[in-house]
Amino acid sequence: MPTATCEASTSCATPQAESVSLVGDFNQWNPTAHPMERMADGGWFLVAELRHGHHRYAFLVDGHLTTDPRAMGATRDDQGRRVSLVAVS
Amino acid sequence: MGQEVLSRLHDLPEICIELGQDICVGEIEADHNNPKQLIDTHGTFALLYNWFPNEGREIRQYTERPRSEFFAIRHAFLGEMLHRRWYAYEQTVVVLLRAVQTGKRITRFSVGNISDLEEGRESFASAVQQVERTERVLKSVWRELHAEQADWAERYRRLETQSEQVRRAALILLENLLS
Repeated sequence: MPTATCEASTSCATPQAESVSLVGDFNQWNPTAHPMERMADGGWFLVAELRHGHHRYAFLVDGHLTTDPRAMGATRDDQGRRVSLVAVS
Repeated sequence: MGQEVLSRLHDLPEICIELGQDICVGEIEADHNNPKQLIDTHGTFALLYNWFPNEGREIRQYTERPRSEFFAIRHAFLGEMLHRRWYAYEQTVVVLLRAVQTGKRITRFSVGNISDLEEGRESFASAVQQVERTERVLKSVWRELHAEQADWAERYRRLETQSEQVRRAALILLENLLS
């Protein structure tokens, strides 16, 4: 059965970072699945296709799990780490 | 007015189910000078830090609005709460305290903004009532949790003295800000 998906864009303002990726439930917290792209202003940007519903996520900034200060919500992942929450509809 | 909030309330139980959470607190966005936010900052959290400092710190990692009227709670956790004493007010604070103490899975979700209508603004008198109510609940919960311990009465007296100072300081600030 097909799953409804939606394109979601996200950005991370860490111009001093060497690498940033998006990790979350949707990619099994895989650090290489969703690398973000550096923008001209030094921030990082990504458009990802996510299924409708609620997703836990975080940014992996130079290997460090970082919550999103502009997130719609806050929670913990299965390891008890603080992560962010987004609703995709 | 409030339509954005109503349209997002369905997210709270959905988050509990989809992400296996025990409680999802809906947080209304408000600036630091919003009266409810001022009461929580100077009253609720200050009192929490006196009676339950560890739990207060943990709760604040999730939400700035521990008295939110909006939350979804998993049936099993609700049953657990109903087996305990059910307080007449400030249920969200009591539920969050219990959630932190028993390692429940907590989520905070932003449900948007409600415009601050002039007639709905908190008066200083209302703030006094809310702060005193919160203090009464926290004292009761603390006594319930510690009354079996040998030195509880002495510790209670000390915390109560501090609590009075915290409440008075909170009410001075709130009078300056809300009157």
